Amino acid sequence: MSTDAGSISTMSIEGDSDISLLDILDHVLNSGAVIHGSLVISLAGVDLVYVGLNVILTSVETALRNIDRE
Amino acid sequence: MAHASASSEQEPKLRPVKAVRPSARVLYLYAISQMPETVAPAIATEAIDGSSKVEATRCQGYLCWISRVSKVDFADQLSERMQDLEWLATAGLRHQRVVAEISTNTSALPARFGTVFLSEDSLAQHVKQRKRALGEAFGRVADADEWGIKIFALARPKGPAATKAASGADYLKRKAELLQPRAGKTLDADVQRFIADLTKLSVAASPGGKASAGQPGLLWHGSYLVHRKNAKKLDTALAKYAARWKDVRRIDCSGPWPPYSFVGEHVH
Repeated sequence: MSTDAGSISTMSIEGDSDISLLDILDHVLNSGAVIHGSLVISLAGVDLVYVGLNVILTSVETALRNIDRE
Repeated sequence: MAHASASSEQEPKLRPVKAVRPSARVLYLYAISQMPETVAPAIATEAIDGSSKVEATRCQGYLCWISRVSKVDFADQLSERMQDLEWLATAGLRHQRVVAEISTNTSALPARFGTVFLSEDSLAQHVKQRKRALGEAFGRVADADEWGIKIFALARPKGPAATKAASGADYLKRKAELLQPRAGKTLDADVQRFIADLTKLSVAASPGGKASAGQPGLLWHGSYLVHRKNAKKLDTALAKYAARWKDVRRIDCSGPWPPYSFVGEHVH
């Protein structure tokens, strides 16, 4: 949705065709090992995005260890 | 193409076949939901590996949504696989699609991407140990959705003089500056007011994800857990600031997401 009153875009994730992979990764990923780089993520049907990627990733074992430490 | 009968001289790099047990499987967890009153509906969406099934398995009074996937891909070499961005993008999208389908039918706690258990016993043990935290998380996310909010600085219009460059490299540099407005080091007071308004209408807030942190022009981003009865208030706040910032900033809003950012221990 974009309005004359200002610049706002609302992306519904239903059908996920107008959602970028970056947004998906933002939400489905969490803390752990670090990846650096300036990279390209592409997937047919979804956005092609250029990223200065600094994604924090984790494996379950790491996550569980972190949780168990509490 | 390699043929079994090919001579070793033509194919000097014929590798010995490694013995991989195809039966080595682990459980990939998508989400945990409360036990439905009737039978849980089947999930038709493609599984995380594109080939296995999405199953609902009873566990400690909950339903755990899982796929039985290759141990090599999802446990032994998961971190290597995740550095292959194409693999990560495909798997991340599949994860989201499965969680989204589960969430349309039932209130579910989404697992973070890459949550794998070696056996049903270890899954059950994990759920058992975390029953209290799970109960709290179900309470927190009940009737609420996650929304991703981003603020971008809009490229400032420049006069024709800006395009007069001394060299090609200079031109490109100037053009890049035009396309990629510099993000301020500190947030403008008006942006802070917007964030305060969002916080007021939400159940909880979480910093935005790291994947899109490098997007050109991104000033700020965050995730908000918003009760469905407050969805209209969110719309109103977004519209208000979008109008106010017309030529200065753009607001992106994505959602409703399953509450990925609000099921962990770190949520406050």
